[in-house]
Amino acid sequence: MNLRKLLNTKLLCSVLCLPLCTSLLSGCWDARELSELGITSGSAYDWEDNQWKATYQIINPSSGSSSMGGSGGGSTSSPPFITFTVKGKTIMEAIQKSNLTSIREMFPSHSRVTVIGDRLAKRGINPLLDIFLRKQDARETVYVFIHSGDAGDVLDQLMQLTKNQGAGIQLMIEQESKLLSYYPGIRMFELAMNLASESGCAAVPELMLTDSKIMDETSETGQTNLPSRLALGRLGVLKGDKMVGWLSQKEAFGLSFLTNTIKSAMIPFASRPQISEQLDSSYMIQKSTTIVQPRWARDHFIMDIHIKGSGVIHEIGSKVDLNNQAALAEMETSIENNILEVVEQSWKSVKKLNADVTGFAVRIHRSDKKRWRSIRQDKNWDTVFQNIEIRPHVHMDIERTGLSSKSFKSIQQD
Amino acid sequence: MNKKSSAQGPGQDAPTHSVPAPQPLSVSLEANVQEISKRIGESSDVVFRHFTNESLSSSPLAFIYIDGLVNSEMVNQTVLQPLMETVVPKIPDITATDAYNLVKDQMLPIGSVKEGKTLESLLGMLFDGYTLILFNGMTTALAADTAGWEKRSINEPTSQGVIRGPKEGFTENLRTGTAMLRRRLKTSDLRIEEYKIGERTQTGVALVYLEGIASAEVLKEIRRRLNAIQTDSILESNYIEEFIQDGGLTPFPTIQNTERPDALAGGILEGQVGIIIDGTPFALLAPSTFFNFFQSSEDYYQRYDISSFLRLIRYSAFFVSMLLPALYIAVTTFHQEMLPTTLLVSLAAQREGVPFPALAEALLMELTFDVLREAGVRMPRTIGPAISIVGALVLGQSAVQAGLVSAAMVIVVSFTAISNFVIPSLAIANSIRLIRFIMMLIAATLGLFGIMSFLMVLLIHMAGLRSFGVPYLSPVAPMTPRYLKDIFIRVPLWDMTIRPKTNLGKETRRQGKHQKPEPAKKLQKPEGENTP
Amino acid sequence: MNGKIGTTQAAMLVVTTVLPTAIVILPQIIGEYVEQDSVIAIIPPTLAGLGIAFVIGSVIRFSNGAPFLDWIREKSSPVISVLLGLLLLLFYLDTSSTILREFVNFVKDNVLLKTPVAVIATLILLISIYMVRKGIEVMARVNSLVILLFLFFVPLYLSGLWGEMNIHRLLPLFDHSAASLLLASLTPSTWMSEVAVLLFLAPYLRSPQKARLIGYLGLLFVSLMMLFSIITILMVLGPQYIKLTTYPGFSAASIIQIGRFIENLDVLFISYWVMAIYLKFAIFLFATVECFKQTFRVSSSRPFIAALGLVIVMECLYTWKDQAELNLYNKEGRFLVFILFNAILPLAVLLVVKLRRSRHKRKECET
Repeated sequence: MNLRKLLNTKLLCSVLCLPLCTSLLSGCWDARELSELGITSGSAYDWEDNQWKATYQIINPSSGSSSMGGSGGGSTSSPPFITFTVKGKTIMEAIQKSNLTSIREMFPSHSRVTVIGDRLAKRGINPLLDIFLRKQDARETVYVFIHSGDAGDVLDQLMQLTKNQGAGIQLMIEQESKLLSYYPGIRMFELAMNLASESGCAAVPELMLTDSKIMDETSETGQTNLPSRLALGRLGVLKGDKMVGWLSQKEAFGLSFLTNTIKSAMIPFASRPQISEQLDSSYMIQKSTTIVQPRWARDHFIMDIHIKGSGVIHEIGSKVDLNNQAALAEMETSIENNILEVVEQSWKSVKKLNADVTGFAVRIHRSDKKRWRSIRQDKNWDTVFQNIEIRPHVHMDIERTGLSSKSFKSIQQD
Repeated sequence: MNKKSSAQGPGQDAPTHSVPAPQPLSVSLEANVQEISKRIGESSDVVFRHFTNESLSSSPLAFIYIDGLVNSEMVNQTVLQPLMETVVPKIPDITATDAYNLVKDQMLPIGSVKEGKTLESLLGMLFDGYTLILFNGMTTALAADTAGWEKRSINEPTSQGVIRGPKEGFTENLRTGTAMLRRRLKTSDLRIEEYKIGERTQTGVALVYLEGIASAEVLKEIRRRLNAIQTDSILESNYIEEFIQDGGLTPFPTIQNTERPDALAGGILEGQVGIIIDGTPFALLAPSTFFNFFQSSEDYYQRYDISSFLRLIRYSAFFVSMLLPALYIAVTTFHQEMLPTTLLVSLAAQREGVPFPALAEALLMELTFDVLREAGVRMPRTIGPAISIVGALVLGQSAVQAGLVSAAMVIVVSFTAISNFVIPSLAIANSIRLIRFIMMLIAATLGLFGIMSFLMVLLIHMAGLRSFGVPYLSPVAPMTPRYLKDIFIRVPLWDMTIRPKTNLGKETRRQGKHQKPEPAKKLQKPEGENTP
Repeated sequence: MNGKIGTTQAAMLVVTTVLPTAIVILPQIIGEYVEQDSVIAIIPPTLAGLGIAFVIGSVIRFSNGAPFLDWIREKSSPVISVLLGLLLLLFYLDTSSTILREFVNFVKDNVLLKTPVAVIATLILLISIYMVRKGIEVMARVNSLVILLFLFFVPLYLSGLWGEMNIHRLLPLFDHSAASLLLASLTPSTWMSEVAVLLFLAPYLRSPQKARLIGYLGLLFVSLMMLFSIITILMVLGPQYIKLTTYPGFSAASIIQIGRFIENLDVLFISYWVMAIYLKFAIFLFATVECFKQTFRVSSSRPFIAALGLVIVMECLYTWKDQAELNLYNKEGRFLVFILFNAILPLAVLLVVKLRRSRHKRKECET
């Protein structure tokens, strides 16, 4: 009995070991050594000659980490990344074709940015979104940008202060949305969410080169003032999956107020509007919230937009006594008017583009589902949207005025 | 099966296999001495001494003892002197029986005097350091306990050191061991049952426990298993451990071993049964659950907060030691997306020049480390530093510089190795040394999924394991929340009101209920004293 | 080796019977019908599940923990018992193989893209067989450990997604018609009905009288977890996005970002989930084996475990080769089959027993 039991366990053990051995013998199907991987830090997609044109930026590991021990240290003169461009009828065809030229398999999980050329953006980006959601190793958290011109050019550009350009761009947009709030960066899944939402629109920032020259040689980054840099530009507006136009930075800024994405922003304003309309002072918004309340007024929607915020004075260019409550109140009104103007202007452009990047459709659906249902049935959102009237109410607080209580100008003897 | 139980009766099962029938003593002194001498093979260390004491009997008597096992001074003073020098008034017609009784009752100023009727029992006593006194004309012989051989003095335990806590460890002597335990547990409940196991070694094995606290079922089971051992030698406690532990083919130990009398006493107080074995300073504790192996006796000598922290560190070290190389392989060859980009790039840069795949690299380094470790144990102490230099410098630094392995791999392997030493029990630390290799192979084949699958197998295995009826993973699985006070963390001593183990003993409360030190009830403050 | 399991342990087993596949597959199926109303759509299935748990628990109370089919044999006739046993065996074989297939598909979709299906399926099967051979007690212990581990993952998940959550995405509630709500709650009901596995765990319950409580506890925890999962997914990804992804829970996990270095955590969550689904599959394998044992009245099921496992793996490899077929079954066929075997069958048994008992009583009263 005992022996049988023992035999049984042994049998079980060997049965258990069998697949292990066979699997070890027949190799590791999914294993990929690090030296076989082309770590992609960014990708760009464009449409050219009726074909997809994809550009990939692959990190060159032997550059940059020369301080690491072992034989890892390559020459520092080798570029920190390499790019190559492929074309194909579908995106995957293009990606697979990359293996014709690259010694390494593409590994997109570490990609940080995706740049879309404006030709492609105008044609439609649905296939791109699909591939990002479908492919297991594609990363949904890449930041998306639009580039007017050949998208691949952007990826060739070397960056200073960072070797990993993709990560650098990511840092750039994150800092921008945190400090400047012209527009928030949009990640691939957010783009998909926005395009799939009731409003079906999304705004994607532009990534551009400040000059036509592309700095793509390592020797060129040796200078302190690069003639051409990467920069964030306008805001591209997508409706459905096609780009319908641009918003300028100022309009984008107004949009940030409308969509409650202001984290911190600088507002130039006239400190004494009665005396001079000149913008001579700056106010930094430190906190701002926007509440949008849709309301049906017989034949159209009215959006009550309450913008409430607080911040500090950073710069004053006129004679003003900051201890004077009336002067402060006057300044607050001036700031509020500035914001109002920005918002109104932005709304005008948005209306002109007829693209609901403001997300008003979502708001209306959430607060008035019956009317939304009828709108959806009649498929007349565009006309409803055109008829929307916005009523922005801005309230800004000056919480502090910095370290000096008077402007420097006011103590100057004149 | 030769078993001698000193005092306590329970569990004296009949021997299960046949031994040659014991040979009774013959009447003739000379025949007995001849027989004993023959049995021993005239070994040179056995001393035979004939003498006569006219006042006792006309026929000669004989001493037999083994030189080196007895304390010669004691033999001289307490056996030889009284028997040879004392002159009692001669009793006429003194018979052998009279003389025997006289010697036994009046002339041996010695604690333990036993009688032996068979050659076997006499020989057994002889090997225990007794001095045999044989009489002519008697079929019984006297044996006086004169044991006193050279033994190691009590030293600090070498394998289980502590910073704070008693510094004495067990020695190879069984009696010293039981004495050290007695000194710690001054209660009449302490039971010491002694067994002789091993046909040729006749090793003394003492079962120690607290009556009423140790579970009766566990005791019965341990006794049954001890009695079932049929072997010719027990040289170390591991012999006993392997013969009695559950789940024969498991890599996990189900019996603890300790060199520390305080740890043994602690275990016994919590309801475990201790086994002290003659000839080794390592005593055993059973039943032991998985979590026992992560408790060090020092946990109770330090403040509870730091003890809890250290315990968590030990558990994480256990997992690191088991999984780190496998995780490294899985992450760098299957799930590269999990790493931060900068780390991935620098790993990729390091691996640029390494000729081996990650698995081969890891296996190479792990094996190298195991070789170094074994060398470190075996080598003479004087060349120790040389090996460390070779290990650290040549294998670590040079291998990286030569591009054979990547620097990250060296870090992984060293950290794995260091983690392995954090675990207080060598037994459980060793169990994962082999598991680590299997993990690495599976990780290289199936990645994290493989690691998880194998962890699942281990978990199932451990959940099914028992140590003398106690589930190995108790009190976590099956879960008994009130016993968790001493598992992952150690709560303050005053809060451990019940014995933490899932033993089956009766008495579970070990201290009063409200033991938390608090200031005495506030006294009425005298008027005006607290105004400044 | 088969010891008894306590009430909490059994409730935890019920949780693992339902939750692992439900939490990854259901949000998408529900979301497709009712979008942000998924939160509400969880409630009807929970009620249905509780009803089924009531029926099952009552049956177990009547049989007082006797093996189900043996009890039926005793109460009615061996023919009915064997017939019923064969049907149930078929059902459990089928269900086990779909679970295995779902498991394999998931692993292949997410982690091991190139590893052959047969290898994964065999490995999973072997480990599950090992677990079943160790007995229900060991399964329950491992299960409680795995559920404990859950406590570690929830805070990680929550803290990682905190910044991405937007509570307004849950609005507007009650946007969908009752009909679509009902439609959406059909599929989840089949999952909840899996509580019927208790029928075959009954002989190992320490207190079979508490079977109802076990079912309730387990199911309530399951719906709580489902609520938690659906609410977090909705708050992070929004109602439309859920429809796009096959495994919304893991999609949400993959956008977790803690600091600048902990990202792409989906693999971690998948690894944890793998442990849970091992248990789920093992529980169903156990039920299958138990069903087989009771139907054919074999004294020891040990030699048959591997054979039954082979049948399951074959079915998994050949019948459900096509994922579309499996999806179709999950969406349409599953409901009928599950309700038939998990709800209607025990209900019928219960009614017959009650009827007989009352008739018996009446007779007693008359005499």
